Amino acid sequence: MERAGRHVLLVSGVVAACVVVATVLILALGSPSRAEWDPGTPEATLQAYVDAVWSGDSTLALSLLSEGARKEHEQNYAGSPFLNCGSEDDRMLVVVRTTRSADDTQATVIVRIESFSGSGISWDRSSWTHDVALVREAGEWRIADAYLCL
Amino acid sequence: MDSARRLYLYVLSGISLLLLTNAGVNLVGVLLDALALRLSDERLLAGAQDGVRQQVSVFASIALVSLPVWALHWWLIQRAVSASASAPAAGDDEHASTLRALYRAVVLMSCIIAVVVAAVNLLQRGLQHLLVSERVATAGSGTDVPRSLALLLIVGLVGAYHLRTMPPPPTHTLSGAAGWLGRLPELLALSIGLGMLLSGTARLIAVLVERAAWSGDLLHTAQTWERAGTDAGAVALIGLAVWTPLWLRRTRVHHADASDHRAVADRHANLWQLWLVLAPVVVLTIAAVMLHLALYETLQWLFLNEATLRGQDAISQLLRSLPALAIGGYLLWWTRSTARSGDDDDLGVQRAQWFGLAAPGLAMLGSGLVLLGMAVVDSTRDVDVLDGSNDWPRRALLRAIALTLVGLIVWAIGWLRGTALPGNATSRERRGYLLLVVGSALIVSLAASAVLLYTLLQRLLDATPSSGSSVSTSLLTLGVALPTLLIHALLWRSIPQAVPTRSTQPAPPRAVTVLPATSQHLRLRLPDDADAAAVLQELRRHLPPGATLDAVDLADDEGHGVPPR
Repeated sequence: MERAGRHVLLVSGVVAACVVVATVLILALGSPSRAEWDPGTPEATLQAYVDAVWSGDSTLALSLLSEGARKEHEQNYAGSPFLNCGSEDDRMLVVVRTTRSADDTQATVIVRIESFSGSGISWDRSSWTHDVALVREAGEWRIADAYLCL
Repeated sequence: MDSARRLYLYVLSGISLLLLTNAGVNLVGVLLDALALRLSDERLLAGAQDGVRQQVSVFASIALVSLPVWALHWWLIQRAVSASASAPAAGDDEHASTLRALYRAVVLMSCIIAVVVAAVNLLQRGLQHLLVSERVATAGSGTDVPRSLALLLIVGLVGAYHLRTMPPPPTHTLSGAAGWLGRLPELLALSIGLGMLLSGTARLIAVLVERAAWSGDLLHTAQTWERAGTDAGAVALIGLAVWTPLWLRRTRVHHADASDHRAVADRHANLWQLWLVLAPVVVLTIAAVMLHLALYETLQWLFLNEATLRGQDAISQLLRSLPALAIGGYLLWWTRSTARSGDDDDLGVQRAQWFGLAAPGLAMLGSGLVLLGMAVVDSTRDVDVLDGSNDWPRRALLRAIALTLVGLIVWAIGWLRGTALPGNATSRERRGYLLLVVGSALIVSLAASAVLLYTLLQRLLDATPSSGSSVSTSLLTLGVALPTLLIHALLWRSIPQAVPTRSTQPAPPRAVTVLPATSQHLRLRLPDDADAAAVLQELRRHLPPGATLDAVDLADDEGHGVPPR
């Protein structure tokens, strides 16, 4: 085989080996398992809210909003509560960090959203972060955003 | 290789390379994401738990399918390159084909852009984690560090591989598209680096001025300043990192000895000379626009007693123009300092730079004069308040003063320096400048005449009454554009006719660069009564340094077996 052929063959072999190694490594690391938070934490409220919105249970989702957010939601979005929220693609929500105010009445959960969508040979991965504000009402954490769609 | 086969091979190779690279970037991104999730305190809130496996299967499949397609087509291309290199006399130089040069330019330019974007994102994140409070550093989009790392790694490797396997074609033997396509990636990188350096430093200065002048009544917080500052700093640093090595290479090329044929060819390439003209002109035009805004802000602050006007805005605008002024000035100085005496091309570039600077200066000057006239006209009547404020004529007057003053200075510097250079009177740069001004003034005059005619006809036909300002604006525009047209047309006419635009005599031969250590047999046919020795002597005068022209005896009429004499 001439020099050009050997060169291309070598490069292809290295690339193929890298693809196989990366695949094996990713599979060996395994998929992340869903975390469970203690009830009464901001993360647990947010998790229950996301589950409710994604499963179409708008009644439960509304009950997890703060009083002010619920009123605003009923005024502005009564006709289409949480329509198509999070259903467009396969996405993962990861809690990056949670901060609480000194008097423990307000909290912010920083969530990273990892989205994966596409078809055929056109696939797209994207990632961004979102700050979710929560307030404590009657001892329970409630979401202070009238239309939180993750 | 015939054109259709070449087109097929490069298109297929390009598509499969794109798919392979995209799959590689995503696969490495998934791997880094998985590692980051395992090593950090982050926890999965919700979502598809088998998403990782799905992503791996998709991207690994795309990579493993596109890899052999790319390898096969790339091998066929490389084989053709090797074949043409081993048999150069066949007249089918694959290495120098336009399509190959286009493929190389597209791949390298895409890699440059992707690598720069990824590097900026990574540096911004790094600086934010080092210098900015954690709360601000993680907020917002663009925090995907693994994806940027993957992009930098994979696309960087693809770019490096193509840079190694596809060296620039021997441009001193090329002409046309293949020649300038070979230089395009380098000049694009140079432009990107320069633009990032300028915008990053200007933004950094603005943030610093705002921070220094903060009095507590602004919406900004210290954290957003920190973030804006680190973002701007990262852009400036990456711009500097891209620009510096390329510029050093260019400096070496300009200081290279005349015996370095490659450097001589690089130095005299049309695309490089165009870049060297446009870069300082664009940068200094941006500086002029910023300076006029700074002057306008200053005049407003001094003469309009409004609470919203702040002196710091003028100072910020002024300081932000400094990087553009410094870099534009440096580029002009560099051109002059590296120019060789007696080199027509170097002198032409300098003339084009100065005349190129005079053109936007003249446009600013003309706009300022029109605005000045409008302000004067509007101040004499109580109507035509455009923005609902009674300050309109005064604001327009201040704006006009700023535009006229800065435009006049820029135009005067450009024109005086351009006309002071040797050979200006009949130069093509002067002719080009005059033609540009005459053409622009003609177009503006025609447009203003059309608006004027339309307005007058509207009034004549008793249609909807138009405002008086459109008539006065048209008249003022004509009042500025027509004299400009006339003056520059006369200057055009005054160019000595001794220099014909199309010579009936053959043009004197230009110095050309020849391949080092090669010998070409050229045939020279002369009339019977010609003095062959005198002709050869004349030809030798135009040879580049290091090149020789030897007379040989022809063994037969076909020129075979011609030992040098």
